[in-house]
Amino acid sequence: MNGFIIFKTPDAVEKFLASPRITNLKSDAQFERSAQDPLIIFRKVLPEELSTIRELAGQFGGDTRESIQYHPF
Amino acid sequence: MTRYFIRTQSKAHFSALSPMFKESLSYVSRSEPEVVIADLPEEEANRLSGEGAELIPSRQYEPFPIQPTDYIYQPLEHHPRNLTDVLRHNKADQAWAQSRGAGVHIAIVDTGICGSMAEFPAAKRSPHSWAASGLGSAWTDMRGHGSMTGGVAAATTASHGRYNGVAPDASLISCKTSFDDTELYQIYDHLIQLVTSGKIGRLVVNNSYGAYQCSPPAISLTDPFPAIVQRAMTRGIVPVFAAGNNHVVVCANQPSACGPNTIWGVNSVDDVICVGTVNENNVMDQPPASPGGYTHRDSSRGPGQFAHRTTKPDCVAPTYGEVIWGCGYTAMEWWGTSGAAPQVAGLAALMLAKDSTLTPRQIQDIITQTCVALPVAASCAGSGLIDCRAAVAGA
Repeated sequence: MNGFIIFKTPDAVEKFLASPRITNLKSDAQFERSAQDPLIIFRKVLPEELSTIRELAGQFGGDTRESIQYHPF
Repeated sequence: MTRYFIRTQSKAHFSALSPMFKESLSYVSRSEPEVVIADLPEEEANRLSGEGAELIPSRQYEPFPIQPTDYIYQPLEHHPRNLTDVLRHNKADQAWAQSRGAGVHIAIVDTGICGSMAEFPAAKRSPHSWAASGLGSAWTDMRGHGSMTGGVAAATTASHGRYNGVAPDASLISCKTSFDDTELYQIYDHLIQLVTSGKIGRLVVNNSYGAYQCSPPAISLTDPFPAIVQRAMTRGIVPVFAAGNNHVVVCANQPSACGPNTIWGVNSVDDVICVGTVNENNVMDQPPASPGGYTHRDSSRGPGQFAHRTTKPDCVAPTYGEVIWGCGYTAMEWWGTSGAAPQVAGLAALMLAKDSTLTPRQIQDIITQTCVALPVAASCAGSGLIDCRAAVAGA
């Protein structure tokens, strides 16, 4: 699963990424920071890991949203 | 009974196996004689395993989900018109005396562009192109769609290509994506950085994608992707979006009706330029050549989910005939609204090459004010058919 975690401050991004609960995820989950926003893009997250990510993001004031798939017109 | 691949250690091993199963053989490999395929009961399979044969149960695969575009773009054996005729229709060819788009970049957010086509020589291909992880080079295009949109916007005959696009001297930034909005966000993040760092000058972004659906998607303009598109406009970037192909086949609406709304998401935001399509005769309610197929009547109708100041689409552009598709050329009855949007992206590049100080709003206003009005409601065709010569003259 892919998606966004939208934080209110860059400091919250740092704290989230440093959390052992994230660094110890068993899957190949990837977390990429936005260059401009206090925002993280996640990829390859297993469905069973999403609740962990959502809960941890919430502790740092983050809002988690799954990605939307568009199609060519 | 289960179907198995049966692999033996050698031809001699195969000959030594119990003879019973050999009556069940359905296939013997030509390239690997030690491999056969047979339907076996469990007891027989166990016995062969005991004799040293390797048994691999067959596996049922499923086709990949079919993309909407597999139905929308139907190739024809021949069409009497082509991209050159379309560029006469929208008067791009008459605009080239004033501007050909030099110095302006057009980002093509799409399936990639076939960089080996003569229409996309090295000088046109920006080194700032971008590809999502796992999709390969931005200058390859396995689907065909991105080469079409890139070609309509900015193909050139300068290196013996067959066609010019609307802005033949503009540069192309290929942004190759699978259209997941996390990738779309990253593309805009990348493009904004290119502009704000001064690596490129004025930038137009073509977006020929969106939502195939008949009711409002759960999208907010504060979501990351719509938000970053709106932020890009504050940096002077000009986003052009296809209206969509939702009206008849997808949503079962009357072809002659100019509603209900089927333009969704960021494609419908006031300040982006949203483009529908018409046929050779400037109409959008005629049936397709193949019954049940997609054609111009499928161009999505407005007023647009998030439009307030404007009525979407802002304008329409013609699509018909032969066009670049992947690493070749394909004749089609229409090119979807996907083929209409890059005509406006190319037009915006022509205008910016003439006057680099124009704002996205000024470009939108000039394009819509110079359209040729069509006898349908604004929620069908906006301000009408684009007129590239008049719009560039007004820039």
